[in-house]
Order: sequence, then C-alpha cells, then structure tokens
Amino acid sequence: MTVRVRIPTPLRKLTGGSDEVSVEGASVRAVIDNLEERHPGVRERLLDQKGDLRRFVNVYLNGNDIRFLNDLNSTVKDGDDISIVPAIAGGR
Amino acid sequence: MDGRPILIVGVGGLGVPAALTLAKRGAGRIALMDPDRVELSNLPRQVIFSAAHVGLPKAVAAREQLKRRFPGLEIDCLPWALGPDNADSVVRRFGFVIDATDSPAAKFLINDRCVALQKPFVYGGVLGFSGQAMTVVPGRSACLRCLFEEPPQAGEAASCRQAGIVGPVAAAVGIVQADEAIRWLHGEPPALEGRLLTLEAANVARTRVIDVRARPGCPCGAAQRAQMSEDHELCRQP
Repeated sequence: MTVRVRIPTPLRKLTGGSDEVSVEGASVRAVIDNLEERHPGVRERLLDQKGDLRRFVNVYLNGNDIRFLNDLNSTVKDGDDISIVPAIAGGR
Repeated sequence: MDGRPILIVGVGGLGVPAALTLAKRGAGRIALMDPDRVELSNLPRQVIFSAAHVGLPKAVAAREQLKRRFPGLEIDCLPWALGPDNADSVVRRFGFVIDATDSPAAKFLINDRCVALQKPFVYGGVLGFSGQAMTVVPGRSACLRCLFEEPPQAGEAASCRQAGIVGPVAAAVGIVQADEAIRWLHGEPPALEGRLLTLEAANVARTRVIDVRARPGCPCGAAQRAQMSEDHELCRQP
C-alpha cells in the first residue's frame, strides 16, 4: 500500500524540506516505521519510548483522527492520505 | 454586538493583528495582556510598534497606538503575565478570550481555565509558514485537550527560534482569531468551533479545516455531554 503522508513544518528538516512524501505500509504504525527508514528521526518525534503516539501529536487518516479508529494499528489502503498535526505554540 | 470585552493574551505576532482587526471591526472594549517589553526584533511583524517603543511594555505601547487610531475603543492594559494564580480572576471579567501566547503551557492554562469558567476562546499558533486556529465553546465543542492531550515539554517540539516565524502568517492567524471573537459577540456561531484550521501559507493547497471530536475521558466533559445529548435524541425518537 502506498499512502501520502503530509509532513508538518517541524518535521520538514527531516524530509529534506518536503511537505508530502509517499510511503508504503499496511497500517499507520507500519507507515511510520517506513517513514523512519527513509527519514531517520521522524519516529522519535511522533512516538514516545513505549511506542505510543506522543500526546501533543495527532495523526489523521483520510481526515479521521486515528484515536477514534484503531489508533496506530488503523489499517491503510492504497492512495490513503495521512496527515500529521502537532501542537504548535508560536505567537510572538 | 455583545458589549462584553474581549481579552487578548499576548501582544505579539498574533495579538497585534488581532487587536487591529477588532478595532477596525467595531469592537467596543478590549484588554491587552502581556508582561513583555517591545524589542527591536519584534518590529518587522508587530507592525503597531516603532523603534520609539523599544523598551516599553507591549500592552502599554499597543494601547497608546490603538487609541490614536481608534479613539472610541476602550482598552484595558494588563502589563503582566497570565498565570495559575490570576487566571480565574482575569478570565471571568471577559466575554471572549483570544489566545495569542507563544508557549504551550500558557495555551493549556487558557484552555483549562476557560473550560472551567465556561468562557469561549480561540486558540492560535504559528511556526514557520504554518498556522493553526480553533475556537472552543466550553460545553459545546471539543477543547484543546481533546485535540492535544498534553502540551509538549521543553525540547519536545520545535520552537520559533528553531523553525522561525513568518510575520504575515502570524497576521493571518491573528485576523482569523479576531474574526472568531467578532462572530461570537454578534451571536453567530464561530466558523472554527470544534474545527482546527491548519494554514499552510507556502502551499495553500495544503490548507485544511479538520473536524475535532470531543475526546472521551477529556476533563472538559464535552464528549460525555455529546453522548448524553445523542442518547436523549434517541429516546425521543418514536
């Protein structure tokens, strides 16, 4: 399965500036693992030491919050769209 | 328009355009809250200030500038920080709060106290060419903790110092926040109530609005209320 992953500003330095990448994977977790292989450092920014999604980051699968689906085990299919949305706090 | 005053917490990249927009849109009373003083590096994006204001408290300098252009606007000046000790007494004086702060802790403090006091507010954040905004109407829509359960700790998230901040992006988000406040005071539903705007200014095709569901277990209780309302509707159906 190849899905489109939308990369937020804080992670773009890890993807060479790209705001969208195509990645293989059958679940959201597998997509993140494959993303890590291609762009080392991404997984640590998204997952905590237990492998859970960090609590200030949300992942949307085709616009649906994965916490209301099957979390990181949510299955993905070809052409799906994954968005990573972290809390951003700037305002000065 | 509802005459209750609007509190702007943070008179910087978000707060300055929000204040200018409120003034231009006919708000009657606003309050400007910020403990910081104007710095030279603020001037490119905080367009209300000039070099003559460097060193002055931002809330004081912004009030002076706004009063010159909008003499009919009533402006309270609160040149100190919003903190756990004063948040309740400050927030309860206002009809709507604009979160124009620049720290995760401050954003979650505003969320928690506004939810507790049932005060609507609009969250905003910017980083690089990206911006976010979402309006929270306690008891009606998802709150910031429904969206992000906890704020990032120091070093866990990219800061503006690392990723930069683009003045026009902050201005766009600040204007959106002011528009949400104006809608509320006009008795209209805010456009971003329970919806997160993710602005991507460098690639506008990526800009989206995401529906944010109330999270079961969130202290705000919006998910439980929504479930009770749904159950009530089901009971009413023949």
